[in-house]
Amino acid sequence: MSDQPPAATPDPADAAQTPLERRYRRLLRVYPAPYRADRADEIVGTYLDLVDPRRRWPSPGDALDVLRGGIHERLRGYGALGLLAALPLAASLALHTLLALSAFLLVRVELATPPVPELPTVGPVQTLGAVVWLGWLVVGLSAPLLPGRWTRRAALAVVLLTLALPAAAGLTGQPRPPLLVLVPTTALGLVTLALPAEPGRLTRILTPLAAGVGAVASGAWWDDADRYLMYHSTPEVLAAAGELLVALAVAVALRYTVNGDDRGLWATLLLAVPAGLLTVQPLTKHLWAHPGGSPSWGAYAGTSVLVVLAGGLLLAAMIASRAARHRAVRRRLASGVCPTCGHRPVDEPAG
Amino acid sequence: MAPSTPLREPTFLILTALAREPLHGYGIISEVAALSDGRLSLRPGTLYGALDRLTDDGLVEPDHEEIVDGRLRRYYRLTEAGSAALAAETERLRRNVEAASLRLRDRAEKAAPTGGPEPRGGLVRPARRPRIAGGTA
Repeated sequence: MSDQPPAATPDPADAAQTPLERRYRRLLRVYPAPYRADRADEIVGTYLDLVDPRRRWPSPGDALDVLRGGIHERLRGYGALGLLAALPLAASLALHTLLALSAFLLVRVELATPPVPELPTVGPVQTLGAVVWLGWLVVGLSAPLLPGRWTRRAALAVVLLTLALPAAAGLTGQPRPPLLVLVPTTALGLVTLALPAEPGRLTRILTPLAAGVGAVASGAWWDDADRYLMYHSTPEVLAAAGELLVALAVAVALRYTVNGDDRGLWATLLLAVPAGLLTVQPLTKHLWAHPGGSPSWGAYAGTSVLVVLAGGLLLAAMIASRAARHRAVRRRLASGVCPTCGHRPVDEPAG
Repeated sequence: MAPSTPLREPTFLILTALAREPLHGYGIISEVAALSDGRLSLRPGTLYGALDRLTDDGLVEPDHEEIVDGRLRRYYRLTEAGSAALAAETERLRRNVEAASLRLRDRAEKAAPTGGPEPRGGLVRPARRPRIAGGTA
């Protein structure tokens, strides 16, 4: 340990910094500026203490850690840490929606004989999408039995597979599910990447429930032979899944709110965009209806953008309201007035 | 103030690391790794997020700063409230360990061959609750 003072004032632009240190400081821009001014030297110093000095670039793990820390600090500044706490809950609801939906799409659509015989198929299934739905079935059904990190990795693999599907279909000339099915399921898949480290009680309850809903939905229309056997006849099923997801999220939110916990509310807002994307097809017909024809691809794309913007605005409004409340509490604490009753002076902030 | 809910493992280990003496970030990370036999490897972003939260809760506070090899090291120490929270959590865990040990000892004694006739119900404390109670350990 040394007592000697620093040779120069710490400065991000200091030429004496190593490339590695400069890169860590650049990454730290994700933190709020006032926090960075106070803590950057300390945090960068700790990263440098931990890494091999021969390294020239921060590892991907460190980059992700800085990003996570920066987002955490920004949300903490807004008094909106509930958003992060709600991520595992939202992920669990998203995974089980995918489980039910995948059971339906695999059994009812992919494994069915298409009513139009001349349509191309991929062996025993209609499209390459069968691999994705099978993937979500495996991930969803094994979630209660495996550590969360394994489930997260498996979910990431299925999300990447879904993203690769259009290119794979283009290269091989094989059919794939429509983008109006792939986009919302990818959005749900991205939410599942925040699954908790250990499967909780909710996962153990929801897994058989979702599998049951998927199984019932797959067989519910068997007597109606021409319906739901192809992707273009499933928009209302996707919309029903979206509505079911919102209903479930609201029910969970109410249950949490009774105990003074706002995680369910945050989770509902986080799921608003994926749920909205599931309802894009009927929503587009409602918004852009014109007589004698189905909506154009531009109309579907426009509705999807509107859904994403509306979901983002809802989330931003919630964060802004929490930030305003947080500022008010801090002002009261700073003036020595109890933030709860408004009268009693307090000596120390309440936890 | 002592938290009413059980501490999560990383939080418990950070407080434990600081129980002996003030430590800086790297020191806390090393100490937590040692305490968990290398199982828990905190990264700085995660550590400083936890330290900020613990500081907000009044369980930890900055102690002093040093510059070593041109790097700033800020030391953190356990507050009285942090010490009380750690003691309360340790006591809770100790009671759990004692309860589990007792049950396991009962189970081992019950499973051990006695060579004699089976014990009568009234003489041996039941190792399990009746199923209809629906309780969990």
